[in-house]
Amino acid sequence: MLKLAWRNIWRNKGRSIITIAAVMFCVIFAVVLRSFQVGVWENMIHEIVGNNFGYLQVHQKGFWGDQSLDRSIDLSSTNVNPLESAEGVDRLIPRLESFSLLYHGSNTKGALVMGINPETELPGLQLHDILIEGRSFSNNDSVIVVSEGLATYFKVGLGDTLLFMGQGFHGAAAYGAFPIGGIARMTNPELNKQLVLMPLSKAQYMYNSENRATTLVVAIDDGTDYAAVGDILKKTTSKSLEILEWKELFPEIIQTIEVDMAGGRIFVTILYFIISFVLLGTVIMMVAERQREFGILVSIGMRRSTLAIVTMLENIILIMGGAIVGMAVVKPIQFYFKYNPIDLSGQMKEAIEQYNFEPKLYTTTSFIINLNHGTIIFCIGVLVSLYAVWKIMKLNPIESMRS
Amino acid sequence: MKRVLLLLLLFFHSSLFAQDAVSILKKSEAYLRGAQSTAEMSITTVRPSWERTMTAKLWNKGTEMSCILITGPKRDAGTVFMKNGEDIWNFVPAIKKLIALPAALVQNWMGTDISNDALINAGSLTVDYTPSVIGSKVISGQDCWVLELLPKPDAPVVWGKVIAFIDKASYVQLGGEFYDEDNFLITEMQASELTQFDGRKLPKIIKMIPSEDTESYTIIRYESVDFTTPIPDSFFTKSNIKNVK
Repeated sequence: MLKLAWRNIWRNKGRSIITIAAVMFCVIFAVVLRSFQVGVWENMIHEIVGNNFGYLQVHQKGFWGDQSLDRSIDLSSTNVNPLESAEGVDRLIPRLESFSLLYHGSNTKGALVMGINPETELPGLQLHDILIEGRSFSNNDSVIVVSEGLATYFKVGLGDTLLFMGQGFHGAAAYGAFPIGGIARMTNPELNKQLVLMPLSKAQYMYNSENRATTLVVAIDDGTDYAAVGDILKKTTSKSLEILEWKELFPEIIQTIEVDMAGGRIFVTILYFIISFVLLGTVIMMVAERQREFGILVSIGMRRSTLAIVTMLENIILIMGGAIVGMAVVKPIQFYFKYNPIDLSGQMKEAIEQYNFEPKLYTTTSFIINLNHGTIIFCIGVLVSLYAVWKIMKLNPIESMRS
Repeated sequence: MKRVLLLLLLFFHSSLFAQDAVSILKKSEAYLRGAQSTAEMSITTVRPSWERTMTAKLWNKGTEMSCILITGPKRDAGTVFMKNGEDIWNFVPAIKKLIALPAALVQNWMGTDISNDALINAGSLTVDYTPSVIGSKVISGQDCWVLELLPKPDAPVVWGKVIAFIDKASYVQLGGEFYDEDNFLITEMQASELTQFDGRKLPKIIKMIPSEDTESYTIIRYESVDFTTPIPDSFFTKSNIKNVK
């Protein structure tokens, strides 16, 4: 029977190709749609969380709830070696984060000040990659790098001096004047509006927080699962420190993703309805075309059930072929848009930037999506093929031969 | 007739009493301040696992003019706070900037437990508050008046009520309690170690204790006070703020 089905497929190549093509495009549509959705999130998490904040952070206990310098980690008295040498940890990156009021001329603006050591930082804060003007700094320099948004707001350029007024460790006055050494474009739009980067040692001095860090970002080894590393760290850490995963640090990102994913699922469901009818159309067409053939086969003595099984097998082979081809064909598309994301422009771009997302559409290359949607479409295909079975079972050979 | 006399007596008595409270407070402040004074002090802020000491120089003239210069540590040295009448300025050498401060600042001064108000408006309680004697109390062996100070209407003050303990013999204020407008105790002040400074007996140590945290406090320790060297009015001007030494 399999042989019969196989022969039938090759007997009418045109029809087979149409069925395969229908299934293939359905798979491609569904997969591309989901790939973009998942890909945008994947990319956002990678860019914003992975490259800027890190998947894991170490703080003094209580810091995340009350982000005050008073709850910073004293690096001279806290032993972080067990954390640094834990499995899967590449290095710990100290940062001193606080707020300051910036002055230039008669303009003022609140800013997020981050004291960093650029040599050890995460990719998102590798200054030479994000600078659009000027130069990076080393830990002994006393220049700052401001985000593009701040530079635009203050209408300042390289060499201009910004004044800082803030509060340091235990309420000490935190004043400073630093010339701008560079202007950087941050991938995170929110940071791009208000971030000032300065050498860690200078930030520590200004905030009267020598040898202190508010955050130790955990850089994990490539290809390591951050959750596993987090579990190890939680076991090794001392009581005074807390290890937080990005999901705890930024629960709002998770919520946004969930809402968006739910919306995406509704959309995909609608797509599946459309796909079902497209496939049903091809099956109806196939049955109509072969009315005469079916009629002859039944009248020369082929059992209806055998005929139905053969037809079913044909369909399964075609649909499976279509799904597999679809899954394969979509792969290069996924890869292409992962590395060449669609740049949004105009109003769409502004709308998305308001939500602090990068206005670019990426795809994911995760094969699970292809497999999921290939399978779903395969099932839909099999389901609609039952129409052919039903048609065959109630076939009237004489009438069908006349048609 | 008797009743009228009694009423009159009561009236005079209470007004005399009020008069008394004002003069006690005025005497106390005048004693503390002198015509003018120059003082050197250290200010230590203590927190459960941390402490910090600053050194400062303080100038005072009359009730309207005062100036404080931070002399250490190095990162804060050169910072000046100056009051002249209604104007309060803060000069920050790190940014070479003069900042005008509001008359009533609620925040604490440079991370200490001293309110900006207490520092800058020190010795001018009579200007903004109406005092009345509400009793007597013995504090570190000295018999003291207990004065309740309520802010005058529209006075630019931060406290809802101040209780001052003033030594009956020397007019030195030995303690104080500062309440907010809801009558909650915010900060307590304790003065101790009465020492001779330029001919006047004054507390060497003043301790400010915020009521919310028992392990935190700030100690002001007077190293020297000079009541004799005259200070010109021009010292307390905006243009002089960068030259204060």
